[in-house]
Amino acid sequence: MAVKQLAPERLYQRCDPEQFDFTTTEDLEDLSDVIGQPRAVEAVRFGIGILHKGYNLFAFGPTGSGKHAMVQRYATDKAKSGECPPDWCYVNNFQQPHKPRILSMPAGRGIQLEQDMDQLVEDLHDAVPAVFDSDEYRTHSQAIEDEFNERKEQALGELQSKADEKHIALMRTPSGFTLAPVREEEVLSSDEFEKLPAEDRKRIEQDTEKLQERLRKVLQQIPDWQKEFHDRIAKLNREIAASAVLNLVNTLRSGYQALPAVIEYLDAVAEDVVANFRHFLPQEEEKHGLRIFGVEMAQRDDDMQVDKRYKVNAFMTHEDQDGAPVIYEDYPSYNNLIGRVEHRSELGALITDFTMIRPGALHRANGGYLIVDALKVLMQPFAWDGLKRALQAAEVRIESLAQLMSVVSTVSLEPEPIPLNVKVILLGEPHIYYLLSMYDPEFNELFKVAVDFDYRMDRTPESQQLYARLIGSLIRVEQLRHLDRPAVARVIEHSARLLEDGEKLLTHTRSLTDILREADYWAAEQQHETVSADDVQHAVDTRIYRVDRIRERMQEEISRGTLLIDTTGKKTGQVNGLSVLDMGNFMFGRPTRITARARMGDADVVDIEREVELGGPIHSKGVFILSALLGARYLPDRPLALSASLVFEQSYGEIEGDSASSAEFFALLSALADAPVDQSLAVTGSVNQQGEIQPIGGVNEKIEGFFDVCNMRGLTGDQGVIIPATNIKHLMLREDVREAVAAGKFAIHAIDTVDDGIKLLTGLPAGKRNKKGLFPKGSLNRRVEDTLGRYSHVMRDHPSSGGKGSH
Amino acid sequence: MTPLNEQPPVKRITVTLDVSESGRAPLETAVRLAAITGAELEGVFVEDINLMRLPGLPFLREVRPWSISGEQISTQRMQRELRTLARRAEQMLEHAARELGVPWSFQVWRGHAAAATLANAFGAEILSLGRVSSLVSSRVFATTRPVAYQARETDTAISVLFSDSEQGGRALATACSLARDMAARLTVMLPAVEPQDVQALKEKAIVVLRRHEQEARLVQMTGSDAQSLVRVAGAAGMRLLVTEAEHPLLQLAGLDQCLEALFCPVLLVR
Repeated sequence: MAVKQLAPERLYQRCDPEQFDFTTTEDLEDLSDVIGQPRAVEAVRFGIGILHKGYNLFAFGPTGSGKHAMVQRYATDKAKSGECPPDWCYVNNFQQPHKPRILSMPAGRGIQLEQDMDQLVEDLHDAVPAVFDSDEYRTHSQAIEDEFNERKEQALGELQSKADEKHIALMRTPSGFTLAPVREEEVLSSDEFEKLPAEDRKRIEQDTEKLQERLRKVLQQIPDWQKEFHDRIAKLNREIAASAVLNLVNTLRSGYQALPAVIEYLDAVAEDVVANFRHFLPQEEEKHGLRIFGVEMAQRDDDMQVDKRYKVNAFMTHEDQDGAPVIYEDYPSYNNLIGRVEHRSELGALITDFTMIRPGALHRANGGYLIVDALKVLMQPFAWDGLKRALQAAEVRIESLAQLMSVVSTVSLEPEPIPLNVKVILLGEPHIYYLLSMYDPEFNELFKVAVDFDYRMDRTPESQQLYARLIGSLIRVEQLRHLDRPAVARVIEHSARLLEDGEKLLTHTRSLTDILREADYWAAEQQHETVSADDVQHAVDTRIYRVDRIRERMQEEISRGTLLIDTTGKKTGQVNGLSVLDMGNFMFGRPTRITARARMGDADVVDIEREVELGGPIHSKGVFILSALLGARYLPDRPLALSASLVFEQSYGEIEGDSASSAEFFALLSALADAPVDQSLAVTGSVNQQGEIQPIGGVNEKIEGFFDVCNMRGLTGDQGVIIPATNIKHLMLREDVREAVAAGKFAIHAIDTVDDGIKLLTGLPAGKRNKKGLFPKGSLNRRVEDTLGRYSHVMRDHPSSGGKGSH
Repeated sequence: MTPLNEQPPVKRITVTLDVSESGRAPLETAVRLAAITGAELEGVFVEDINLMRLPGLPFLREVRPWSISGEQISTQRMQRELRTLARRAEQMLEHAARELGVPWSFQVWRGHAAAATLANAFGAEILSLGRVSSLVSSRVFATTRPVAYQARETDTAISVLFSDSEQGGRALATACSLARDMAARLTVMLPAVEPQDVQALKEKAIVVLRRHEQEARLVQMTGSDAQSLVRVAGAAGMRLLVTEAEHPLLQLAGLDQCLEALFCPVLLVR
C-alpha cells in the first residue's frame, strides 16, 4: 500500500531546450529517414521489393500520420531504378470493330506509330486517287468497259440490224423497251397500220414478235454480262489499289520489324485499305455527308470514317518518362480506375469507337505503383470489385458499368484487355484494414503486405533530437518561420501532451504540421522572425479557446450551482468522479457527482445508468467488477444481502468507460460504512476484482477539469485529485496546475489499491484482516463488513423482509 | 464577235428534262449557266408523240429488263407513267434551281421528240439538250461504269464546236464562262475547212479565248459529219458540248445521233 502525493516535477515531463545545440531549426539538416516507424518502413521496403502476385500493400494508421508521404517516397525511390513500362495503343479491329485490338511497344513508339499512321492516311489520300487517275488504270478499265459494251452492242446491233431490215425501231418506254414499226423516224399510227394490206400487217406482227423475243433474250443476258464486268473491274480496282497501298505500308513496316504485333496490324491495314480503297477517292466525301435537318450523321461502325478507321489511339504513352510510374488516384471511381469508353451524342444516339477509349489509373500505373485511399475506393460503386478483379486476373478489361449491370443492351466496345503488372498501395485507417481482412476473403490474397503505421514513438534524448530535425524538415516543406530552441522544446512537450503520455512523442505529422503553421501565424502577428515558445503556447491556447465554449458553459453552470459539485466538506455515499467529454478535436474533463445508496436486499448492485440504457457496456462491466469485488472482500462465506444503487448525478447523456469504477466503489463503501467522504478530492481510476486501481485515459484533462472548478471557487489547499499510480507517466499538466501544486494549494495523489483511496477519502484506515479473519475495529472495512453482516442476519432470520431494510 | 457579257443579255435558258441518271447533266449545266447569266430557267418535259402511238398497236409488248414476259401497252398506263415522269422532272428542276436561287418555270411539251424539232420549238437564247427521243441506239444499254475513280470537278471537260460566225463566237464565249465557273478544261473543236482557212479560223478562236482569258486546247476536225464530231469529243473526255444552234453538223439526224453517242448534254447557243 502506498499513497504518493506527487511532486510538481512529476506532473510534467519537461523538455529542456538546453539539450539542443542549434539556435533555430534552420541550423538542422533535413531528416532523410522516417522516424518512429521502423515496422512500417520495413514493411514498405519488403512490399515494394517483393514481386510476386498478391503482394500488394495496405498501409494503415491514423489519418494524417504521414502514410501517403512515406509510401510515395519509397515507391518513387524504387520506381526511379525501375523499367519504363511499354506504350499501349488501341487500334481498329477490322474483322470485329466492336473489339478494338491492343498493341504494346517500347516507350515512345506509341506516339510514333500514331503519327506514322496519320501520315500514312494522308499519303493514301494522295496515292490512291493518283493510281486510279493514272493512264494505266484508265486504259485497263476502259478496255474492260469497251469489251462489255461491244458485247452488248453486238447483241443489240444484230437485233437492230434485223429490225432495220423490217422497218422496226427499238424504243424506250417509261418503264422498259419495245419494238415498233416506223416510217421515217416516226412510229406508225394505228390508222396508218390499219391501212396497210392484211398481209403486211401480219408480217409486221410476226416480225415484231420475233424481234421482241430476241430483245428479251438479250436483256436477260445483260445482267450476267454486267456481273462479269463488275467482277473484272473490282479485281482490277483491287490490284490498282494494292499497288498504291503496299508500297506505302511496306515503307512503314520496315520501321517496325522488331514488333511482330505492329507488323501484323500494318498487314491488316493494307488488306483493309485495299478492300475499302473507295474511302480514299474524292467521291466518297459525298457519302459522309448524310444529313438530317442539316446535321451530319455519324457513320456506322462498319462504315467508320476513313480518318478514324486507321487512326491509332495512343492510349498510354511514356515518351518522356524515366523509370516506372507512381500514380496517386485521388478520385478512385470505377471509371477512373479501370478506364472508360467515352461516347458522343448525335441526335439522341450515343456513338463511340476505339479512339474514344480512355485510360484509368491502373493503366497509368501499369508497370509501376498505384496509391489509392482505401475508403474512397470502397465508397465508390463497383470500384473495389473492379480493382480486385483486375488484380486477380492480372489484366485490365474496360467495361462500362452499364455493361456490367446489363442495364443497356446497345452495342458498345469490348476493348482487348491489357496485361496488368502493378503494385497497388492502399491507404486507410486500421479499422478498414481489419474489417476487410475479416470479411473480404479475397482481400488477404491480394493485399498480403500490411504496413502498420504507429502514431507515437519513445521519447528519449536522441529521439527528441530527431524530432527537432523533423520539425525543421516540415518547416522547410511548408515554408514557415523556423523555431528557436525553446519553441522546439514546447512543441515536443505539446506533442507528448497530445499523446497524453510524457514518455512518448506523437508521430502524427498532420497534427504536428498544424501546430507549426498556427505558431507561424502568431509569430507573424507578433512580427517575430523566428517562432518562439510563446508563439507555440499562444497557438495551443488559442486553438483550445476556439473550441472550448461548451467547457466554459459547464464551468459556469457549476459556479452558478446549477451543476452540483462539492469541493469542500464531507458527504456520505458521495464521491467526486471525473469524466472526459470528447468533442472530436477537443477533450476536456469535468467533475461529476457519483452517489451510492445501500440497503438490505438480494445481493444486487443496481447501475442506474445501465437501467435507463445510458451506460455503455464498458461502464456496465466496471460496475459488475466492483460488485464482484465487494462480494469477494466482505463476508466471503455468506451471500450478500445487499441492494445498492449507483448513479452519476446530473448526467443526461451516455456514459462509457470504466474510469469511474473506483469512485463508484468508494461511494458504495462510504454508504455501507456510513463514513463521509472528503469532497475536496476527486477520484479517477478503474478497479479490478483484486481491488487494484488500473490506469485510465484522459488523466490530464480530468485533473485540470477538477482543478478549474476548485480554482474558480478558490483553492483551499486541501483539494486534489486521486489518480492511479500507473497514470503518473501520462501526466503532462497545464502550467497553472503545476504552479498550484508547487504552492501547496492543490495535490495529486497516486494510489495503487482501493485501500489507498479509502484512507485519503474518509480519513479512516482501510484495515486488513487479522489472523481470525476479521478487519480491525474502527477500520472502514470493518464497518462495511458489519453492515453487510447485519443485513445478512436479518435476511436469514426474516427472509420476507428483504428489501425493507435501509441505510 | 463580242464576248458574252457584251452581247444582248440571256433572258431565258431552256433545258429538256430527263429523270434518268444521265439526264441530270443537262439540267446541272443549264442551272449553272442561268446562275451566271441571271436568266430564267425553263424546264421542258418532252412527251414523245411516238410513245403515244404505241398503244394503238395492240400486238406490241413492252419488255423490261427485270421481267421475263412482255406486257401489253395501254393508253391509260402510258399516260399515267408519263405524268409520273413529268412530276419527277418538275421536282428535279425545282430542287436544282432552288439550290442556286435561279428563277424557273416548267412545261410539258408533246410532239416529235427530235432534237432539231426541239431546237426550233423554243425561242430561248440557250438550249440545254439531253437525250429526248424515244428511239434509241444500242448505246442506251451502256451501263454506268463501276470504275473506282470518276473525273473530279477539276477534270471536267467542256468541248465547244466553233465556227466562223457570230453565233459560233457566242457559243465559244458561253463555253469560256462555263469553263471558268466549273473550273473545267476547255477544248475548242475547229470544223474541217479548206487548208488555207485553217489558220484564220484558229486565230479567230484565239482572239475570243484571249478576251476571256481562258486557256483551251484547239483540235482540228478532219471530217464534216456527226461521226467525226463524236470521235473528237469522245477522245477529249467531254462532259458537255457547246455549239451554236444552227451549226450544220448538228442538223437533222446528226444532233440526235450526237446526243445518243456522246452520252452528254449538248448546249445550243443562239
